[in-house]
Amino acid sequence: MILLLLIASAALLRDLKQQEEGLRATSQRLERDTRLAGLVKDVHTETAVEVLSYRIDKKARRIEATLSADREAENALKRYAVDVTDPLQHALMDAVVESRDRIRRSRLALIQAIDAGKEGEIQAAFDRWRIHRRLLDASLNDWSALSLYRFASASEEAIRGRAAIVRLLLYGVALAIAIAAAAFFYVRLTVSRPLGMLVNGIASFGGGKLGVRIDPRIQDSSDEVGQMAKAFNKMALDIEDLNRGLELRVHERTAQLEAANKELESFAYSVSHDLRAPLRTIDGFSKILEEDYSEKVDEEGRDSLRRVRAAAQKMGHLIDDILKLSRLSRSDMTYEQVDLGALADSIVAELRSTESTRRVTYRVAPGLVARGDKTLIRILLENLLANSWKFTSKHSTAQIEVGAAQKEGELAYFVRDDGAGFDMAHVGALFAPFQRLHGMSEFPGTGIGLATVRRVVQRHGGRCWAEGEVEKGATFYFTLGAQEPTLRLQQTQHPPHEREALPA
Amino acid sequence: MNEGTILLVEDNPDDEKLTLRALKKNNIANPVKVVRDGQEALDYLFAPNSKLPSVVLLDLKLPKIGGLEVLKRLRADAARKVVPVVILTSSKEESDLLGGYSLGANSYIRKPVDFGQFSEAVRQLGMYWLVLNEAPPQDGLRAAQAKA
Repeated sequence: MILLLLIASAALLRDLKQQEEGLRATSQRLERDTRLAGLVKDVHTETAVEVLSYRIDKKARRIEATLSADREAENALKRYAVDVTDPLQHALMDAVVESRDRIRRSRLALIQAIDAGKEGEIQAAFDRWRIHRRLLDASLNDWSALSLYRFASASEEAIRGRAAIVRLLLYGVALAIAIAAAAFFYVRLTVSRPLGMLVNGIASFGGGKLGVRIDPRIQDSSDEVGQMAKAFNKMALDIEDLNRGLELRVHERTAQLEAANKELESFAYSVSHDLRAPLRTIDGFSKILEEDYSEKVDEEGRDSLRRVRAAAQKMGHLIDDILKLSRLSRSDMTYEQVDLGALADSIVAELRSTESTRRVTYRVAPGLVARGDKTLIRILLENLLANSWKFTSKHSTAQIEVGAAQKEGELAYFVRDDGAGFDMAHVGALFAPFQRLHGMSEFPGTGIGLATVRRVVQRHGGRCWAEGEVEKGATFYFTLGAQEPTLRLQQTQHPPHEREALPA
Repeated sequence: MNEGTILLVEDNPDDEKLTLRALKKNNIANPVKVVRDGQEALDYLFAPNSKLPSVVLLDLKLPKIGGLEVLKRLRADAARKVVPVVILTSSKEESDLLGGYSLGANSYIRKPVDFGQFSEAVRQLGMYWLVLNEAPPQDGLRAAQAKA
């Protein structure tokens, strides 16, 4: 179709070129013809003037002039005749030549009559000459008219040719539009639509619908989209298999974890109930010994009994602390906005009420808020502030500060004091349970406070660390994690065996 | 002073002896009936025409039938649901506390390791349940028992 159009337009263009050339040729001829006709006419007008003057003054040079003018006209006509191919024009040209011959003859006759001086003959010759001149005019006019006609028809042809080209161009444009539209719909049908389905499939797969597959009709086509669809479907199948395996493993692990948790709970229960009972026996019966048999035991014996009781009670406290720590790990968490400043204020107020004689300056940064479990965060702050309170107790005045600072790109909260501090060499043992950097007689405690702090921070997905110097104080930093931990895997809700194909 | 019986449900003989001593030391001279497991406790409490105790000191971890189960059966009985029950145990687990109170325990006391504190706790609960508190009328109990 396009080829045909191209051939047609090429032919038309060739025709148009020929027509243009023809038009140019006819236009040149018309110009030449017009000029020649004018020249011939002028020559005869000139000779007529010379002949009429000769009649009056009889000068021989007038005859000479007519002859040379005649020759000029003849030469022009001869030159012109060389490239005249049109037979009709040739005929008209012959008529012009003939008319000129006639004029020449009648002029010669007129000149002879003038030379003879016979008035009657002069008049007759003059009339004949005039008629012949009219005839020449007529044939010249015919000749010009033909030239004009030829030019007009060439022009018409050229115009018609142009119109044809314009028509052809219009057809071409219409055809091009039609082809473009067809191509558009073809591409839509064979590329865009499958591609769209592929994109939709990938999007919903990404959205968690792991059962999504691309219509097999697309996958079966051999083009790139088909190959992509095939590759996607294979990948989706693999991922779904992997995911199913993963879910299975998660379920297994969850079950194991739940079992372990249950075990831990029953262990905690046993610890709480069964381990404390013998301690009570040890303490109780030592007490009975003290009360009922004190006179039978000497001072050293009584001291031994006191030590037995103290140890039993200490073990009781330790057990209580272990249980507290274990309970901390098992409790549910509720995330909310927590006003750390307000919490710290109330904790410090409680500490002050227990030891009202202490001179402690306490400062808290304004607008200190965090997201987390309020109960756990309170426990955390209680431990840190009680720690600061305890380790500043040997100083006559003390400062405790609660604030926040940017540390390695995240917001870290801190509790700072100017108390006993610690040697940075032992910082590693600081947060481990039952690890203490000070003797019991110096600062009492079971060593569970900072372990508790670390447990709370870990449950929030954060971290904690400390900086300190002996007798210069300590700063305890903690972060609470970027956001609530979520279980992403549990969000794939559809059963894995459910297949979902996109509509064709 | 109220002369009602104290029912002590306790399987640990050491704890039994310590509890009895604490009672004696605090001059609580009420008769004490000691049973050593949940079954025995129920047998005593549900014996026909028995006089109901003024207070039951109930341990939770008991052989055969647990303390919470004993409490549950007691509270399900029309005549015996008014008997004051004080849970006296080592456990401070939330589940035990919640279970005890929701089943209608009147008090929940955790036995401290320190005998001094333990003795003080026993003194206070004896003072409260045997001296200050007005026990439910025995006649009323009988009537309810007869009806049941």
